[in-house]
Amino acid sequence: MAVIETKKLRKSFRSPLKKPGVTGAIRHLFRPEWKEIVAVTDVDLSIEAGESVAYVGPNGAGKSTTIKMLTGILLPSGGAIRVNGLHPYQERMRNSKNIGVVFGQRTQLWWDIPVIESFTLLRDIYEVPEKTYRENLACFTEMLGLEDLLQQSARRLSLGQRMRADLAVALMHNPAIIFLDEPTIGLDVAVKERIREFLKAVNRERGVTLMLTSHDLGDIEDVCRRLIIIDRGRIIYDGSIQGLLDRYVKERSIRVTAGVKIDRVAAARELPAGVEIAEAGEKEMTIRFDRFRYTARNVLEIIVKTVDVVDFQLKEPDIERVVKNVYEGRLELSDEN
Amino acid sequence: MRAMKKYVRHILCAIQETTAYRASYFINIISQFVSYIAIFFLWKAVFTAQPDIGGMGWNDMQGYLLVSLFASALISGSSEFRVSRAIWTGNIAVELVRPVDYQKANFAITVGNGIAEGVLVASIGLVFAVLIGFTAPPANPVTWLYFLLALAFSFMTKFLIVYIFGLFTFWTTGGMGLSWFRRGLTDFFSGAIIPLAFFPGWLQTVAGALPFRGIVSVPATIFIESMPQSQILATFAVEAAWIVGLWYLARLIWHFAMRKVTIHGG
Repeated sequence: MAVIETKKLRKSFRSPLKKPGVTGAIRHLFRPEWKEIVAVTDVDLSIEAGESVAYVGPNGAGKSTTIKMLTGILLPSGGAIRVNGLHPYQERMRNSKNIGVVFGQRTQLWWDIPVIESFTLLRDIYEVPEKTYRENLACFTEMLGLEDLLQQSARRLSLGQRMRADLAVALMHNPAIIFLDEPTIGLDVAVKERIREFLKAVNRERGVTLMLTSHDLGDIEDVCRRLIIIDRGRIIYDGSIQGLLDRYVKERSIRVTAGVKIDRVAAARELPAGVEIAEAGEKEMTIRFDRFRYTARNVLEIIVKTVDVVDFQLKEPDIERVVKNVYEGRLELSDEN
Repeated sequence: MRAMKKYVRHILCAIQETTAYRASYFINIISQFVSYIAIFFLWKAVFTAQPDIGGMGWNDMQGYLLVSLFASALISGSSEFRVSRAIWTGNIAVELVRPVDYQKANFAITVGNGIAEGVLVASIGLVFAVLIGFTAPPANPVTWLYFLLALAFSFMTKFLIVYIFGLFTFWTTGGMGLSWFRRGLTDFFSGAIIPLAFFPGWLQTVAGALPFRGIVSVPATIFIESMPQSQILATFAVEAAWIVGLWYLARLIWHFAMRKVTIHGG
């Protein structure tokens, strides 16, 4: 059963249309004009229990708006929406018991009181049974390394510490779904790593459905199995990460190191269609090839005829390039190619 | 009862929060105290020139000012800006993903702050009373009972007014101007600075029709026993009606705000 389901979900905002300068501002005061800004439109989502979904797109694409509608903060302007069978806005209180939310840029902790006190507050807010609370607290304290920071006030925590505490908060009431809006923003590599491991464990061992937005493609590849790309308010890709690569990335490359100076012209002459030199130096060369037509072995066999290969390295297609191309408008995913 | 527990926990956390920052907590209260010293000497000069104004003597006025100091200090600083700050920073999003009623949670936090600050304000008030040589606290225990009730009404009325003005931030996006306006309105019509009895007749009628007088004027006039007993219960009934009305008005404003307005920031 789908735990998150939307049909033709839409959200538009009214934005003041002001003419420039003071006169414009004054005129707006008496005769306001508005223009409608569509943040999200025609979004169809169907996410099953236990999935881990990355929801990505450039800034302003509508990611956060979607998350805010799914968490009951914003009322959709149109379309159908169901989270665990509930309407998140109209049944906000009930829906909020089933979900956990982490905003990378905000905290659920009270600034001026010890972290553990915020935890108790959350325990009472979600009416978590004492036993569950103790078990979860012990579990998260160990997994996220919280013991040293429980007695400190949130104000004193570093961003990484705060984020770890916020993750524990979001999961303390055993939610069925957890939404994470840029959970690793601004964090160092070690903390990112730890958070990803934690999220994977929570998804795998507790069966928590995970939906995260991120600009960090490492998060996406590491944690999520499904990828949804939104651009200018519309979903432009929904499928597996491998599926995206299969569809849009035809190339792999091989980088070889030679024992003697490479004769570039001779090497190029031997290459069949679909295999080409991307870069060549004195004793190094990178060859790009169509991964659907040739295997790495095929390519290597051709190269060794003209180059004295002593070492080689394969470069797999990377999701980062694809998504970057999408963000920059160089790749239209709706086009069949 | 279980549903209440979360709000009780809000109160406890708010008490901790208030006492966590002792310095700003003291500064807050001392600044109130200082402005009251100025008001006190101003009125002393007035009463020296004219011993009886609108049926009040200098002793009554001292009692009135003490209550005014206490009632005004009960909801201060942090409560004032909590709602508007949450709105303009967009942090209100965090509150909305939890199973809590925002209005009730806010009330609980304000109660917590009020308890923590109230203890200190009361002790400062006592020092103030001794300093000015105030010697006429009400002798009748029934007056004290009414007075405490009036304080409870005062607290709820002020909370609701502050909260409603805070919600307007959804439309204005800045809290400062609103807060100054709110303060001016409350200080004037509650009788915090000038007792309502000194107002011209028509202005007294206006003030009498508004909820603000419950914040200072009602508890203060009960404290100095200048409100006849027969009027007290009727006044309480009106105050209760205002509180219920404002409570639902706040809910209505919230309802519209949530539908119309965006949450600021990413």
